[in-house]
Amino acid sequence: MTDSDVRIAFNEHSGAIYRFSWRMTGSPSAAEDITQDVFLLLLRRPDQFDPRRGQLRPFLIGVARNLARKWLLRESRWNELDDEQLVAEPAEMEGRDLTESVGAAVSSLPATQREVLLLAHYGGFSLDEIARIVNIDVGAVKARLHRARQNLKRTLAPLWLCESRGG
Amino acid sequence: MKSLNDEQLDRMLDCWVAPPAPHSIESRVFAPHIPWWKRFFSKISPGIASPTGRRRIRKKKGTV
Repeated sequence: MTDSDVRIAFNEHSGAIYRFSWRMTGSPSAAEDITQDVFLLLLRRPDQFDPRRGQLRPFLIGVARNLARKWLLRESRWNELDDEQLVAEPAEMEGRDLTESVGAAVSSLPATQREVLLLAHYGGFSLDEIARIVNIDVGAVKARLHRARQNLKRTLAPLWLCESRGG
Repeated sequence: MKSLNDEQLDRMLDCWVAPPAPHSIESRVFAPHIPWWKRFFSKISPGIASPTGRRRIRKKKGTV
């Protein structure tokens, strides 16, 4: 992969990588750093990407996911032990608009549930692709995604009622 | 306890729009006058790649 290939890849995928990192960390500066590091890795070690093993975007998102995980661990915000948790921490909704409230609810999910939900809903990845990115089996992806969605259905229900009443 | 259905949840999730990536990232990645290793290490520790940073973290002579 040449420098110009990396530039094409940057134009195609940097937005998706930034948005995933932003949603995962909740920090614009961390998302910038992660996006930068993903493409610096591609410039430095282009051999790390093997097209025979899959497409470029899942590979780049996988790198971003690992960097985001390291960032969250450093910030003590990676709650792996809560993977089985069915009820997310209650998110503070009062005084927030709809966008912020949905963001707060997703951010309050355990990190392992959150990453799977972000990859499925916002990234548009298939269960197989998510399994490869997160390095777990497809059954575990399904279970995490189900738990994440169940959590959100409950935490966001009061907000839906307010919105549908025009409140 | 009230709970959303799948369609309602998807519609709510769509409300959470992420901002676009800042243009500054591109210049940080592709700055042509700075080698990649200098860009990589300067972010981790300014003292490693930047002469200015190195001077800043070096102890003064004669201090304990």
